[in-house]
Order: sequence, then structure tokens, then C-alpha cells
Amino acid sequence: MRCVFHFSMGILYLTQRILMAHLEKENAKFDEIIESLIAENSGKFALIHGENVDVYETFDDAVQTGYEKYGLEPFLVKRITNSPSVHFITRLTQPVHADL
Amino acid sequence: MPIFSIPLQAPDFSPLIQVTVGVSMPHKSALLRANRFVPADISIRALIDTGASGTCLDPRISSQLGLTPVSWDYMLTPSTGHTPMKVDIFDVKIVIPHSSMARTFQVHSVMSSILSNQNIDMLIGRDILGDCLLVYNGVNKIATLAF
Repeated sequence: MRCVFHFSMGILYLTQRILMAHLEKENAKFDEIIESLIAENSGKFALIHGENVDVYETFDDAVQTGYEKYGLEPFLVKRITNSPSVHFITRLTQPVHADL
Repeated sequence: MPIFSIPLQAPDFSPLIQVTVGVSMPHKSALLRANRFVPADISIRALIDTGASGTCLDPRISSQLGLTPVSWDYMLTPSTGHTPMKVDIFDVKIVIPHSSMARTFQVHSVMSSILSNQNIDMLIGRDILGDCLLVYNGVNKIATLAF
């Protein structure tokens, strides 16, 4: 049973790696422009697709526009902040992320 | 105002609720425009967790829905120690069913974290609880959510 669980998690991890790989360019773009965005857009959300960057008031607005403009092509939505936002979960759980 | 009564059952009297999760409304529209298959909504077991700053979803469910991450953030949990770890973020639709007035979140961000080994699929965190009244009545073994 444990083997099946670890195998499933392995497949999931590989799938996530493939899915996140497409956002490499968008993550690099965000790192490049974050300093210039903070001055006037702190707390808002950046929608990034390739080299294109737009700013929205809410996560919902950015996601909505992302699907409208780019359809099923990958896009990245990131909150514009000075310090990275950290979520606190007191229950024992394992975050899933595909390292780029 | 919809009011959800949640029986607290032995042995641990956890506030567990059955919710429906699916692709977000704008994602669904994009799938339809592309003549792609829209995955059916899935009924899952969610734990109301005031100790979670955000809502979390097990990766098995996001995989079943064919979701791709739209963002990432950092998460700190007992499993990460003192160093926050990156976590993928998906956009989903969440429906809390109700006999007369379901509560629907058409676009909601969820963090991807492994929960299925605890026999739950979702943690409903304070991002959702911040919009409602939650009463945990341990004496009468019932919790109440009111939006």
C-alpha cells in the first residue's frame, strides 16, 4: 500500500514539474520587473504571459483576464509585494511545488 | 444568508464538510472556447481549519481536474520546519452545497498540499472563513457556518 502511495506521489510530482516548467520565463520576468512594480502597485496582482505584464486589483481579476487573453496558454499571476507572502498551515501537510 | 450545520462526529469531532470543487468559471469558458473537454466537478471531503491561513487542495484532485498552476507562494507547516517552502497555486471553483442556497466561489486560489493520507482532500482556511461566521459547539457536537 505504501509503495502505491509513493508511486502515485512520484507521478504527481513529475506531472507538476512538466506543468510548471512552462512558467520559467514568466517567473524570470517577474523577478526582473518586481522592483519597478512595487512603487505604484504594491498589494496588487501582476499577470504575466511571456514578456507581457498587466496589473490588476485582485487575484480573481488577473485570472479572469488571463484566461480571456491567453486562453489555455500558461500564464503567471503573482502578488506584488516587498517581501514574499508566506502561508501558515498548522496541520501537518506537505506543500507541493515543482522546482524550476 | 445560508447556514450550514455540520455534525461533529466521534472519535475526533472534526468539522468535516462535503464540498464540490471544479475548474474555475473563466477556466471553464476558455476550455469551451477551445472545444476542449470540461472536467466534471468533484465532491470532496473538506476540513474546516482555522489554523490554515489559506485553503489547500490535495494534488490528486487538481490532477483529476487537469489543472495547471497559475501561481506559487511560500508555505510554512510543521513538515517544512523553520524554512518556508514554495507551493503551487491553482484557481478553482468551490461550492458549499446547501438545500436552498449554495455558497459558490467562482474563482478561488488554493495551495497544493498533500492531505489524502489524512483522509481529507481540502483544508478550508481563513481566506474563506474570513467571510463567514463559524461556531464550534463542542457541547452539542455541532459546528455552524453562516455566510
